[in-house]
Amino acid sequence: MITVLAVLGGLVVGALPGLTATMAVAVLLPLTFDLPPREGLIILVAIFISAVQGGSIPAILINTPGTPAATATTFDGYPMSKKGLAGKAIGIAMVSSFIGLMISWVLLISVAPMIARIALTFSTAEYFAIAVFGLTIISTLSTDSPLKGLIAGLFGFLVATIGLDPIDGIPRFTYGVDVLLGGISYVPALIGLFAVSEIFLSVEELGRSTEVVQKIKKVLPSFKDIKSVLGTAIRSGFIGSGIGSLPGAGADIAAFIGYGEAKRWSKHSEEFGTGRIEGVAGAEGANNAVCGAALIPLMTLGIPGDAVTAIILGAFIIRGLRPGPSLFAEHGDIAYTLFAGFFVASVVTLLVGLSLAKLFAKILNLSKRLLLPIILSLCLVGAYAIQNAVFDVYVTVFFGIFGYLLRKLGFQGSPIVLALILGPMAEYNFRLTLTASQGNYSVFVTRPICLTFLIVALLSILYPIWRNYRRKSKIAGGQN
Amino acid sequence: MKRSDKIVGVLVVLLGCVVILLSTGLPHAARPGIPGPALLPRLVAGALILCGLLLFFRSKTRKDEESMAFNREAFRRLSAVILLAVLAAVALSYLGFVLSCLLSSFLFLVILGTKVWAAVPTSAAITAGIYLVFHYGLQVQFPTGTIW
Repeated sequence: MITVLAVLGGLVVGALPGLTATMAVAVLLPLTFDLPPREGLIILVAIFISAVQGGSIPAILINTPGTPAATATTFDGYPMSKKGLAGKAIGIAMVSSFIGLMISWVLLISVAPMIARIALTFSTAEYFAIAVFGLTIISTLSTDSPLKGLIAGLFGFLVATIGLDPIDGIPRFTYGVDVLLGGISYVPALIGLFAVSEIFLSVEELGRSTEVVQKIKKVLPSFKDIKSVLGTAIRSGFIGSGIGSLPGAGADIAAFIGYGEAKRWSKHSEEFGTGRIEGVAGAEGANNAVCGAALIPLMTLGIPGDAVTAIILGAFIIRGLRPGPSLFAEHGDIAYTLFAGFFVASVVTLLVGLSLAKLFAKILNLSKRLLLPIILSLCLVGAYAIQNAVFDVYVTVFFGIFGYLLRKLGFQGSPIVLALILGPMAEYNFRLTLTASQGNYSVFVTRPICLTFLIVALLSILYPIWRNYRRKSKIAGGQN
Repeated sequence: MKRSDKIVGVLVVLLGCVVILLSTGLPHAARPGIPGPALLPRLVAGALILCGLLLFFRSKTRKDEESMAFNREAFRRLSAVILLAVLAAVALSYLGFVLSCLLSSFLFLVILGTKVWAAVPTSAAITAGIYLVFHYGLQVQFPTGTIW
C-alpha cells in the first residue's frame, strides 16, 4: 500500500511541469524519516522511478517535459498527441519505461554483489580515489561548461569544510557560531538548490507560455504496438543502463542517446519528429533504465550517480547505513530487500501510470499559481523537519536563492551537492591514508585500484576539454 | 553571458583570496608530512582562483549571447517571492509555524494573482494540511514562536 502511495506521489510530482524527479525525492524525503530503513529506502526508489516516468505525461500532452529526462519524449510524443494519439503515446511510454527498468534491475541484482565483493578489499586510499573519481566526473559531465561545473564543485567542497575538522576536531570557518559546528547539512542545501530555485524560476516564467491540453482516449497499448517497439525499448534499456551505471551521467543524457539510436536503427527515420512511437519508446526506455543502473555505483561504491541518488545516499546515511561494499556484508537484508522493492515499484508504477493517465491530465490543468505556494511551504517545512532546526530553513532559502542565480548564470546545482557529500569523504580518507603511511604519498600510486580511479578521474577532466577543442576545430574547419 | 562570466570570474577569484586569508589561522600540519585542517580550504581556494581567472579570460574570447528582454513585472514578482521566502524563514522563530505558514502562503497566492477572498481559505487549507501531515503524521514538533 505504501509503495502505491509513493508511486502516486512520484507520478504526480513528475507529471507537474517545472518539478523534477530530484525535487520529488527531495521534497518527499522528510516524510520517510519515521519509517523503518527498508520501507523508507524503497519509498524513495519508488518515487525516483515513478517521477522519471511521470515526466512523460506532460511531455506528450502539452509539449512540456515534466522532468528534464522527458525532453526527448516531446519530439514524437507531442506530435502523436496532436494527431489524437495521446493515449497510445502515454501507453507506449509507460511500457517502454517498464522494459528499461527491468533491464536495469537485472543488471543491478546480477552485477552489484560482484562489485561489492571486489570493493571489500578497498582501503582508505581507494575510498579517497573513488571520491575524487565521483567528484571529477560529476562536475564535468553535468554541465555544458566543464569549467563552470568545476567551479560549482569547488564551491561545494568549500562549503563542506565549514564545521569541525573531521580528523583533529578543530572548528573551521565557524567564528563562534554554534550552529555551524555541525557543518552545513546537505539535505536542506539540496532542497534549496533543486526545489526552491525551481520555484523561483517558475515564478519568473509565469504567464510567458501558453498551454494546450489534449484529451486522452485509450491508454493501454495493443500487442501489435508493443511488438513494434519492443526491439527499440530493449536497446534503449541497455543504453540507459550503461549510461546510468556511470557516476555523472543522468537520465536526460540517456534519453537523448536512446532517442538518437532509435532514429538511427529505424526503417522510417525520416518520419521521426512527426509522431513515430519508436521515438517515444527510444527516449523512455533509456531514461527509466538509468534508475536501476544509477543504484549500482551508489550501493556498491557509495558514490551517487546523479542528484537523485545523492539524496538517496543521504537517506542511507541518516539511517546509519553507509552504502558501499560493507552494505552487502553488514546489511545484506536491506540491500536485497531494496532490489525486490525496485521490482515491485516498477510493476506498480506501470499499473498505476496506465490506470491514472486520464486523471493526471486533469491535474495538469491546475494552475501553477496554486501549486507553487504549496510546494514552497512543503520545502521549508521539510527542511525544518530534518533536525527540527530553524537554521536548516535558512540554509534552504539561501541555497534556493543561490541556486536560482547559478542557473541564470549557466551553472548547475548538482556539482555543489555532490561535492558537499563526497568532499568530506575525500578529505577524511586522504588524511587518514597519509597518517597510516606516515606522510608517504606514494601509497596513492602503488595501489593499483587507487591509481586506476585517479587516472580515470584525470581523464574525465581532460576528455571534455579535448572534446570541446575538437568540436571547435571541426566547426572552424567547416567554415574555412 | 560574456559580461556575467567576467563578473563571476572576478567574484570567484576574490572568494579564493578571502578563503586563503581566513585559513591562515588554521593549523597547517598536525605532524610533519601529515596535512592538517588548513590543507583542503587552501587547495580549494587555489583551484578557485585558477578557475576564476580562466573564466574571466575565456569570457573575453566569447561572443556575447543575446539576453532575454527584461520583464519588469516578472522581476517584481520574483523579488517579492524571494523576499517572502526569506521573511517566512525568519518569521518561523518569532511567529511560530502556524502563523508564518498562513501568512507566507496567503501572500504568495496574492503575489501570483489569486484574489484575496480565494487566497484566505486556500492558505488556511495549505497550513492545516501541512500541519496535520507533519505534526500528527510524522510527529514533528513545530516552533510556537517567541512572541506568543
